[in-house]
Amino acid sequence: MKCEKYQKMISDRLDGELSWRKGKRLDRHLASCPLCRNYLAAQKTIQQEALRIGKADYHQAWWLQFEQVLQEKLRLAAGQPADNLTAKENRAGHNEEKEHKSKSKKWVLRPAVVRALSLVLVVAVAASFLIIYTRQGQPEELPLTMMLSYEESYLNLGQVLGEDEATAGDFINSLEESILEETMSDENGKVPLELEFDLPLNGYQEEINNLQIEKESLKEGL
Amino acid sequence: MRAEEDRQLIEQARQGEVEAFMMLAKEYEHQIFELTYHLTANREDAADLTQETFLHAFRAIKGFRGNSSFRTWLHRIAVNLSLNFLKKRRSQNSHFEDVDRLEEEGREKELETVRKMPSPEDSSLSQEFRTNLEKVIEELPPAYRATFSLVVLEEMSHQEAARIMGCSEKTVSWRMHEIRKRLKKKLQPFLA
Repeated sequence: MKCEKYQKMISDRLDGELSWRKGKRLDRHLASCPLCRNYLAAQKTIQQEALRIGKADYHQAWWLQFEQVLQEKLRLAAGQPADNLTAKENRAGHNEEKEHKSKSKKWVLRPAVVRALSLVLVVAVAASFLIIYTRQGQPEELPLTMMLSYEESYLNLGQVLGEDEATAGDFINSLEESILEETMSDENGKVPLELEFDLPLNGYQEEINNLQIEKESLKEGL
Repeated sequence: MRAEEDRQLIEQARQGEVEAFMMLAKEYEHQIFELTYHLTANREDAADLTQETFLHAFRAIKGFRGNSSFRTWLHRIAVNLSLNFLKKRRSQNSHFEDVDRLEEEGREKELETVRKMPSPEDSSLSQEFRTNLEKVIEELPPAYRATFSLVVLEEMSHQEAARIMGCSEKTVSWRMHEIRKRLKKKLQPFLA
């Protein structure tokens, strides 16, 4: 208990906070207490070692970059035109926009997607013609307005599918399924439409293969 | 002289002059970075917190009344941001969650692990000692670590550290005593 009090004084002394009077008392105690002398020596070692650790300085170049970023942030905070940042951000934003556009363009222009969309359109148009012209006892001509309406709908559909890869994938799958169902219910047992399933899109390859297997097994089942 | 220069720059920064504030930032950035690094023990976090400190200070400089020095004020912002950051990190990191429990339950076990370490040669003792010292400092509760960083590593007086920490000088003094006792206890095997 007595030493605890002096060890607290040792701590204050190491921080340069011990008064002259208390310092005198501590010195008297240290002269007669090996335990506290040992404590002081240990604390000095710890303090010296602590001062050697944790130096995390960086090179001048790092600091220059740090200051540049900080200055740009401060300018933004001050509502000033942060030239560097604005230019960079503009460039970055512009590039990002361009990249986004080119990505979406690229996506739309992917052969697989084009083929899928064309397929959808062809199937849809062909199905509508088949439905209308093969109706028994109703060989009436398809009105032009209806044709245009169908075409417009399919174009809209194509546009929607072109904007969302996942939806397009789901749509193609469900379309394939419905066609396969249709095939199964065909009276003649023939496949009325030969569909191309071989879409060279890597992400879908496995799924496509599965579909092909399913298609084959369905054909065999028929 | 420094205080006078600071005062002029602060006045200009109050008017929204970024360049003036940048001069102040350049003067203190190393100190703030060191402090945040000591508190977080992570360079990236320290860099982010240093940026945040200056940004915070710039936004709040109109409210700086000059009751304390700019350095103290800046350090206070840095400590508060760092403690908040550590609080968040602590809730995300189970290691920090266990600090208090370790205090009570695991101290003996940890000491046992340290005791079992092979006795190193004198040449490598210092490095091993420092590694363990870093570890023990890192395991201190955030407020204690901040106090230790300010007093020992930043070499601040108890009065200045108390201002930054928002506590009394006596609290700083007691915390330092407690930290030292803990450091000695945990590092005893290397101090023989």
